[in-house]
Amino acid sequence: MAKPSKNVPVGRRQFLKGAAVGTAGLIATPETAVSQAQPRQDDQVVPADVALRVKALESLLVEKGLVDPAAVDAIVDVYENKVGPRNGARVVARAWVDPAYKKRLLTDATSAIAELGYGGAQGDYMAVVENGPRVHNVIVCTLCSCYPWPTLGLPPTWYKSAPYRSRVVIDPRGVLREFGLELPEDTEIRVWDSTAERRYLVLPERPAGTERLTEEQLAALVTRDAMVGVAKVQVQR
Amino acid sequence: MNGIHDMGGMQGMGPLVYEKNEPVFHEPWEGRAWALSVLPLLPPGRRRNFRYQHEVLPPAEYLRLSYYARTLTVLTNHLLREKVVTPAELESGRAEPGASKATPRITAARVDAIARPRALPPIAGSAPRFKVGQSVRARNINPAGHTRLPRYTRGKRGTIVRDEGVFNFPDTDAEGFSLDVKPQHVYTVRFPARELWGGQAGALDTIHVSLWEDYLERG
Repeated sequence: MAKPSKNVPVGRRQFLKGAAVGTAGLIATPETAVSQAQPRQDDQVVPADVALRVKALESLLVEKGLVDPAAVDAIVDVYENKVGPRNGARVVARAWVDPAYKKRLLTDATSAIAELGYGGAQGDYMAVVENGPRVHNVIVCTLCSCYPWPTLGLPPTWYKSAPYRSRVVIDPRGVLREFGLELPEDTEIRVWDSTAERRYLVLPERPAGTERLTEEQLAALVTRDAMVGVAKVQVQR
Repeated sequence: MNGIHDMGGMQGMGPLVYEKNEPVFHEPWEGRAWALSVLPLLPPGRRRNFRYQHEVLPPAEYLRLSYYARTLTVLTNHLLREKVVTPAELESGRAEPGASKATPRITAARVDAIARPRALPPIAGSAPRFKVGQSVRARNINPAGHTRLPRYTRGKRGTIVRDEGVFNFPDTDAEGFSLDVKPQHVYTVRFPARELWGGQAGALDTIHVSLWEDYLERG
C-alpha cells in the first residue's frame, strides 16, 4: 500500500488504491479489494472501505464534469422515496375494482399503468400476468436482475440473488415453498424469465372477504411479494 | 458467454435469504454507486456493453460480492476500459492536469423524467418470420459475448405466445462490442417445464422466455 502523501487525505488515498486493485481481472488480482471484507447475512461481501471508494469515484467524476452530484441525489431520492411497490399496489387495486381497467391492463399493460402516472425506465414494455384459482405466475430474471421499476421500485436482494435466479425456473414449487407458499398440485405455475425488454407484474387474486373494502384499502393489502408471484395477497386481521 | 450470470437451472446455490422490511439501500454508498451506474457517464461513441461487464467478472467474484459492491467494481472496470478515467486518476483521486472537462449529460432537473411514462419510438425492422402459436426451437449456439439466449433453453422446443415487436439485436462480440444491431422481432416463447428439465418437473408448469428471432428456428 502506498504511503499517503501530504496533500491527499488518507482515506481517499486508500480508496484509490483499493479501487485500482479492486477492478477484478483488469489491473490486478481482485483479492485485495475484499481482503478486509465483512461477511453479510447472505455470505456475500463488501470491501471494508467501500463507502470511501464510492465517494472518491464520485468526486473524480464530478471534477471531470461527467456527473452532476445533484443528479445522483435526485436519482437516489426517486427510487428510495417516490417509486416503489405502492405504485404497483394501486394498479392491482384498480384492476380489482374496475373490470374495464383490468381488461386494458391485461391487453396493454404499459398504457394502463401510465393512466395512473407510472412508467419510464424498466417499465417501457410492461405485461401483467393474472393469477387464478388454478394458475400461478412468478417472475424472475435469470441472466441479471431485470425488474419493473416504475411499479415495484428496485428489486430486493433475494430477487437478485443466485439461489432465486438459479432455482425458480427449475423448481418453482420448491422455491415458492421456501417463501411459505404451498400451491396445490393441480396449480399450473407459469414462470416468466425477463430476458428481453418486457417487464412483468403479477396480478394477484383478490382475497375473499374484501368485497366491502375501498380501492385504497385494497391497495394497502397488496404486497411486493404478491406482485412478483412469491406470495398471495392475504387479508390482514 | 456461458458465464456464471447465466444461472437458470443451476443447483447448489443455497437457500433463499429473505430480509423482512428490507430498505431500498442498506447504506448511502449503495444508492450513490447504483445511481452512478445508471447515469450516462460516457461520451457518445462505440462502447462496450455495460451489462456484459458484469458477465466477464471472474465467477468467484460475481458470486462473492454483494450486488452493489459488484455494481461498483463493474462501473470502475468499465470506466477504465473505456478510458473515461485513467489508472493514474484513480490512484491520485484527481483529474489529470489538462484532462478535458465534460458537461454532465443528466442534470438533477431531468432526473424525474426517468420515472415518468414515455413513448419510445418504434424500431423499424423486417417482417416477422414466426407467428403466435407456432412451434419453434431455440438454437443450440454458444455465443462468446453477451447474449440473451439462456443456456437452459438451447435446443429446446416451445410455442410462441406473443410477438413483442422489433428490437435491436443485443449480442456482442467477446470484447463486449455490439454486433450488427439488425433490428428483428422478439417473441415470448412458452416452454413446457418437462421439455426443459425432464420428468422431475411439474407436468402443468411452463417457463416463458423472450427470444430474438436470430435465436430461433422452426421447431
